[in-house]
Amino acid sequence: MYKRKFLNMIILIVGMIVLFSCEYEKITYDVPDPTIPVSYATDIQPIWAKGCVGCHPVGGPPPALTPDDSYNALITGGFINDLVPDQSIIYTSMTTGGSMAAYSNAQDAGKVLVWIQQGAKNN
Amino acid sequence: MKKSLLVLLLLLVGFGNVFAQEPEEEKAEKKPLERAPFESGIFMDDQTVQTYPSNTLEFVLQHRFGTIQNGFTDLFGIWGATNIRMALNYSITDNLMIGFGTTKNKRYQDLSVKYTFFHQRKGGFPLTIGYYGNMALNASDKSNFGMDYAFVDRFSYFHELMFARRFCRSFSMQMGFAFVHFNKVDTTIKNDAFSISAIARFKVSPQTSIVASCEVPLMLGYDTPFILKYGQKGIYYGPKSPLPNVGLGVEISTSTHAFHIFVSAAPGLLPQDIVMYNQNDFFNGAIMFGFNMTRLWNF
Repeated sequence: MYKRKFLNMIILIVGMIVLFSCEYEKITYDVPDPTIPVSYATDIQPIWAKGCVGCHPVGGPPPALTPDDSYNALITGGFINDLVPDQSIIYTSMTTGGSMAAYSNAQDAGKVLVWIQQGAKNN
Repeated sequence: MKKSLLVLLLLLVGFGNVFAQEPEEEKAEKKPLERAPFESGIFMDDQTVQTYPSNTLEFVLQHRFGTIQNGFTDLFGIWGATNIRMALNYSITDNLMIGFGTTKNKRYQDLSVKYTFFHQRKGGFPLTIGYYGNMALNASDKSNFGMDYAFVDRFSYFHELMFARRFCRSFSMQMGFAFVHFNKVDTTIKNDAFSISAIARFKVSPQTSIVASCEVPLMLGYDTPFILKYGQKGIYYGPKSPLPNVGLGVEISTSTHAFHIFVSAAPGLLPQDIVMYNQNDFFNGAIMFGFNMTRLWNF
């Protein structure tokens, strides 16, 4: 009988937590300002470090996104399109329907696009 | 908001009622229990009504490989991106099981509960009916939640009512009706979704079965896509409406282990992730290999 009362109380508490932690929100992103210079080392490389190097080390599927190799891998591997920046493979794979969409978000993809639009410099 | 509150309240009330009605002594004319419809609590991508005798600890390992679309370059997905979940489930009573799991994609940490409240009886009640619910915390980087971040944005919930029947020794089937809620989603999808799932097991030998499952998400309406503007170009962001998930495979089971080896479409492992975010079309080649392993300990 004690067990049943205890279980009932647990259910009530869990139920209250579930009910009161429920909300309805939408994800909105800050639009990156294209006039502010984007640095590869401080803005773009941390994006790779956050969620990409696990499956994209040197020797893994291209591009290698480790700190020492990522810039060369992107430039020489055909992932960047200087003429039409939003058709760059590195960018389209991070956006809706892209192969890497599940591992990135719109904020990071936007930063990468602005970096390419600013000349894809190794800065 | 009101709708989901009502659903949750009803479930709470249902729980309380069932506990209150449990009889102190068995009625003399209660029919004998039918054997269990499934060997294990998990079934490829779905949950089953199966719970274990009290004081049983179950370790669950679920693994999905990449899709086969890259062919031999990544050995049909086996060398590709993976998703893994490890979980421990504990049976408090013969019908009540709680669990904790951790998943690689989106770093989900989930707490779950499963309760079976009606059982199939020989010549009596025709179905086994159970409830499965979980609450998951998305522990990935804060930047994935956009602006106005709050801790509660990370939570998602899943509730499912399952109706299973063991038709004969070699065939069992289960229908599930589920409700999914994510606290914060992209603007291209809604926070709530429903899903209907059906799973079937064909036993071909005492330890081997062919298993098939199908899950169809239903999202009522879409929100308008959110457009981010770079210069003059407008770009749509966010996942598209989710696609159904189909699974087909083999189950090998012993008294303490169950193994599932199969192909399915959804890379997610938590039921809410599969319902809400599956973007792989099983019928267009986005198939992936996967396996589950469970191990039981009786204390």
